[in-house]
Amino acid sequence: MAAKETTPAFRRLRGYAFDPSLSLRLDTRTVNKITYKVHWEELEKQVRDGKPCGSLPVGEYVEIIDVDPATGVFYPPLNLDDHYLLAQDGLEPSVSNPQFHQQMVYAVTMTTINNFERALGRKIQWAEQYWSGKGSKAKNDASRFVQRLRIYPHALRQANAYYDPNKKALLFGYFPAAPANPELHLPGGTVFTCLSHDIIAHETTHALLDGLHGRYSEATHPDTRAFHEAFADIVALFQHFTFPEVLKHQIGKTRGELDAQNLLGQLAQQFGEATGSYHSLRDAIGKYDTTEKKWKPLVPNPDDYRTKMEFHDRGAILVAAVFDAFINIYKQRAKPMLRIATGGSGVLPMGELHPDLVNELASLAAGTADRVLRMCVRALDYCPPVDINFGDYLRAVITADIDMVPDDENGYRVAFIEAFQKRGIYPQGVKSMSEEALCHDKHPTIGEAVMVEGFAALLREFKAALAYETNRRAIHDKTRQFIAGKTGDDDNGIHAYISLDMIMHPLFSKVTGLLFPKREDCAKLGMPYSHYSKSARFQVDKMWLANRITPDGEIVNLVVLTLLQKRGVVYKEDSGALSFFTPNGDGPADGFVFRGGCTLVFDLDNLCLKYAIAKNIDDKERMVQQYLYQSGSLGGAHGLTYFDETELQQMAGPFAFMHTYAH
Amino acid sequence: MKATSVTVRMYRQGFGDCFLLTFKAGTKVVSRVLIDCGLKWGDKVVGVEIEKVVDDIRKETGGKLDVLVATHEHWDHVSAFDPAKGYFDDFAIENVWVAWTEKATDKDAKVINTRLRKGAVALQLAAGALMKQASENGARLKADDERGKSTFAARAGFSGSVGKVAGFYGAFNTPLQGTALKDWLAGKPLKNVLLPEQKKTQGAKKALVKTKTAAKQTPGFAAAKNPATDSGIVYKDKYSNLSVQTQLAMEHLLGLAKKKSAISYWYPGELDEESIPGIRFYILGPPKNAFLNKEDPSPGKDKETYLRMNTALDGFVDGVLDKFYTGADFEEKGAPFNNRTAQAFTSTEDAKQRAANSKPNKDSYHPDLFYQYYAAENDWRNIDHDWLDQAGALALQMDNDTNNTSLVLAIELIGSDKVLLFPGDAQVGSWLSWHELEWEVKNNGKKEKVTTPDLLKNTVFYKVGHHGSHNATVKKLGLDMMSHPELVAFVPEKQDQYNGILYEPLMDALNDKAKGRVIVSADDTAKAEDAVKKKPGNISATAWNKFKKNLKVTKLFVEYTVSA
Repeated sequence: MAAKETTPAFRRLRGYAFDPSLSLRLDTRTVNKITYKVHWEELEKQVRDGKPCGSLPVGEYVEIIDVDPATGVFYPPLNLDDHYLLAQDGLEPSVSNPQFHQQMVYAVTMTTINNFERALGRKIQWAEQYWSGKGSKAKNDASRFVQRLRIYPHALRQANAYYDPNKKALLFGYFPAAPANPELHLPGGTVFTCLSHDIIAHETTHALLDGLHGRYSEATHPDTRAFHEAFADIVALFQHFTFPEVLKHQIGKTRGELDAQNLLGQLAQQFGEATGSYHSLRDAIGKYDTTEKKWKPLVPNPDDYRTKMEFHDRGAILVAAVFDAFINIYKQRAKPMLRIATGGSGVLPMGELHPDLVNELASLAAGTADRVLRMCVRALDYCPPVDINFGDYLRAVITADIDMVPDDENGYRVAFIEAFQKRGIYPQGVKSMSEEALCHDKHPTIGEAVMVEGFAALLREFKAALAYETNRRAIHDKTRQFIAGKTGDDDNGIHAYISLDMIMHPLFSKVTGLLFPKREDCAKLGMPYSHYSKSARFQVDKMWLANRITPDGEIVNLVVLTLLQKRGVVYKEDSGALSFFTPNGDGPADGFVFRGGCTLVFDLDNLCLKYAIAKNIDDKERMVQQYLYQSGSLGGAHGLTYFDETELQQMAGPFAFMHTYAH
Repeated sequence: MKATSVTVRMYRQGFGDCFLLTFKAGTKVVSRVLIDCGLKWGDKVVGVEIEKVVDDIRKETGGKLDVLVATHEHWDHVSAFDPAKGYFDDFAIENVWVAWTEKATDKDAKVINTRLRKGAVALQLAAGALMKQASENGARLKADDERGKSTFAARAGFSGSVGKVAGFYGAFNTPLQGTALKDWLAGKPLKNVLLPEQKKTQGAKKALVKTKTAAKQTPGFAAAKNPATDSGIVYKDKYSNLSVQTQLAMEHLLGLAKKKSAISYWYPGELDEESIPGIRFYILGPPKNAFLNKEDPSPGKDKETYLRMNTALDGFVDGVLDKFYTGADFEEKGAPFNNRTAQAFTSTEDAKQRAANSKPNKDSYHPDLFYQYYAAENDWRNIDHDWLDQAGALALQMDNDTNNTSLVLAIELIGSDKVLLFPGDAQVGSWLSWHELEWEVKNNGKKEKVTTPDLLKNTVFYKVGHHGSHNATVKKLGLDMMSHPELVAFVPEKQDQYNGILYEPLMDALNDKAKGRVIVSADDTAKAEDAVKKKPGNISATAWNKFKKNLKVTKLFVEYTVSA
């Protein structure tokens, strides 16, 4: 619908800043309710018995269906366009009103989506549908488009919530609270996971990340599952810190002693505690010392990354690293402000802080959190499409930030590098932990081979076609067309250019880390053969346009392409021998699918390949690593009794049982 | 006469525990103790049928047991006491020992048992519902060429696994409904609750044939022999049937004691020196504190208590009972909202009806949310059954909870400092709680304090808990403390019964600690016969020969003698 002059910019919706439990605590009660400012969108209309009756909680991105199968009821859909609700910023936060639950979920998912779109500079897309349920239809790319993420606020009766990649849905659970005093056996009411900002943001992030990098949900490295979890936590945590109201309260409480690290770390942990089972990651930041009666930050151990293999523990390392970076940046930036406030001494007087100082510090912290959040999300465009590890992620953060902010005035990047280094996270194949070394090589030598005329024109055409396209379905379908070629002429797509042109060039294979052998060698290497490219098959998985405006006012135009390849590998642990099979259908029982891939970042302004971020398909070390991890020698298997872990992961996706079956 | 040695006979009937302990003074038998006698539902080892095991016990003991110990209420520990079989009815049993959790008058026991019973019902119903759903959705999933097939296989496997755990209660063959169910949940003995005709089929020997028929309808939902549906899963609608056989067996077993006063309900921290001269029984578990149902070691203080763990599943349990149990009216349905807001809630049945009456709307979003949900093209996103997946977590919890009610015995040969440890299937929570205990004993007229580390240090025979699963042998506060050079470990287990059993890393640790003296009862992949063929590298020839001298391996049992 075309925007009218009178269309409001935002839909204001009340909600919890944390979750309802904090409303019951005197010290946090006042800051627990905030008003979310959600970008205005027209919602789908509801018709009942032939009569229109307001709108449904269904918009461009999400579709909230409030069915509770265990109870056997539907809760009535919330009409956000009700004029009374419009006049009072939505429903009053309430545990006992299911319609408010819908409002809360809507507000937080939309806020999270908006944060991603701002950082990425484009519309987000959900992961495509795996199957249509109708066999042949599944092969048609266009029909795989998923318009909306389904959200079920009351789907489960368990202390769990998860993103199901099979259904492209968020399922939230509810459960009876633990009795406040276990001796009394008094039930403590019902806890709804759909009322926790952190849980909603966390699960929405799983869905968003799946839409960007679908292969990250495959557990191929001790880091892959940990990354999904940690990244979802990072988004939830920093999104929280962008609400200045919450920060003001905490900063105001501190009085004279203003050690920022403790202050915000403690707050981060409070979020975790409020959300029950989600707190394990937050334990990484620090703990309340019961003997000293003081919150203390956890001292990072450089051995952590090498020794902690369980994915929750491992994810915690990443969360702690990013949080550490954030704190150090904030501390640096707060210093001048504190000097002004204390007449240069830096020592604060006893008693309450001046409200102006509290405001300034809070907005500084919120601003810093927002910047860190965007850095973290934007980095996803610079990550390899498969088998991510924390080192890759650090390089992506640094590279993405250099592209965006060439001059690191406030030391954001240094703070990140230092925090990762302290925890023993070193990217592979990097000579030093300096900013220049971590940034991916600019303009890899491939130039002429890649930027053949038609290809360059195609990229610009892509930009022109998508730059002003706001319809997500159109974006999806057009992108698919650019990749595969327009109907009836499949030689003019991106895939065709790569297949017919680029792979001939020996440098292409070198830069992308993919293999393009002769037909007769394909089977030997365990790679499926493609008649089209007359070499090993590859897939153009994603194609994104990134339109970003830097803080300096420059416009950055990038096209990101991801390429994927797979091969079947058998590894014999005793002999150390590697052999290969073509991974189509059933392979040998001890075989596994190994993937390689490459993220190509093109600079549209200069029409050149800017970065090639590769995961080599011929990396023997990585094959062995994947085998060891998946066979359990590296902490992959958890020794679950009665249940098979792979089975659990395939049922409802890998996220369903992360918080329940593994301790 | 004081006992100076004990011979432990581990039967090899399959996946289940049965240990006959013979205490001797010199060559003279002083006492016979039987610890458990059971076999997993549907399991069998040809030539070592449970009847043969019972016959051997009868022959060996002359049909006279001084003590019968039942560690906990799981089929693989008590199945031989099934009243329908009456295997032990002709035995003279002097004493029956069980854990305090079996005591009807104990307040805590009552709370635990009500919970366990309710949970057991819910688990069995959920297992049935899951299987039904896997069967119904199977055809659709299998038709999908991408991830559908693997999802289907996973779902089928998962529902089978849940069914297998539910099988710990025996076969699904007892229609227990209405008041009977309520009374039973409230703690009444099962035999008083069942209808007369049920008692006949459940309790009397002449019902043998009938029970056998039931046995063929494998409760574990084992793989179907002749696939009858599109999905390939045969599902029998047995919602109204439950398995309560373990409890019947337990009740029957208690009735085998000579008189009521011959039943001992043991509490942790207690000590028995009277029953067998020269022998001390230390009672280590089940714990009577908050550790009781802690199934896994976990960081964070709020995860320690058992009630928290349980309440999280209460809503699920209520939901399952409400939805699938037609026989009883449950007051707590676990519904999350009790105040109905302005618009009335719509039942899923009504919504389905409305969706069916609605016409498809191709051009734009369908204005009826119910249609959106139920429309065939959106079938793949439907979540009608996803909540049932929690049955897996319930299965784990029910199993953990019951395992942790295991009676745990440390048996000491006085004067030798040698200890035999029988933990039943006790899991982590129980193990941790032992360390809070202390016993006072008199050695040579001198008072001494005994703690759990002392007992573990002196352990020369360890009956490996829970068939060698990952969370029933604690490392730091358990196995690591068993430092006796003569340590021997016996594992009652059979291959391919449950995922994760045997747990390889545990077996490695055991072999390391016991220097290769680890014997598994019925596992074809780790045969007892093979285990003694070759001396492991890390043990001295003297120690190995001594071990072999005290060991006897037959088709029916493996026997090991510990002397003071």
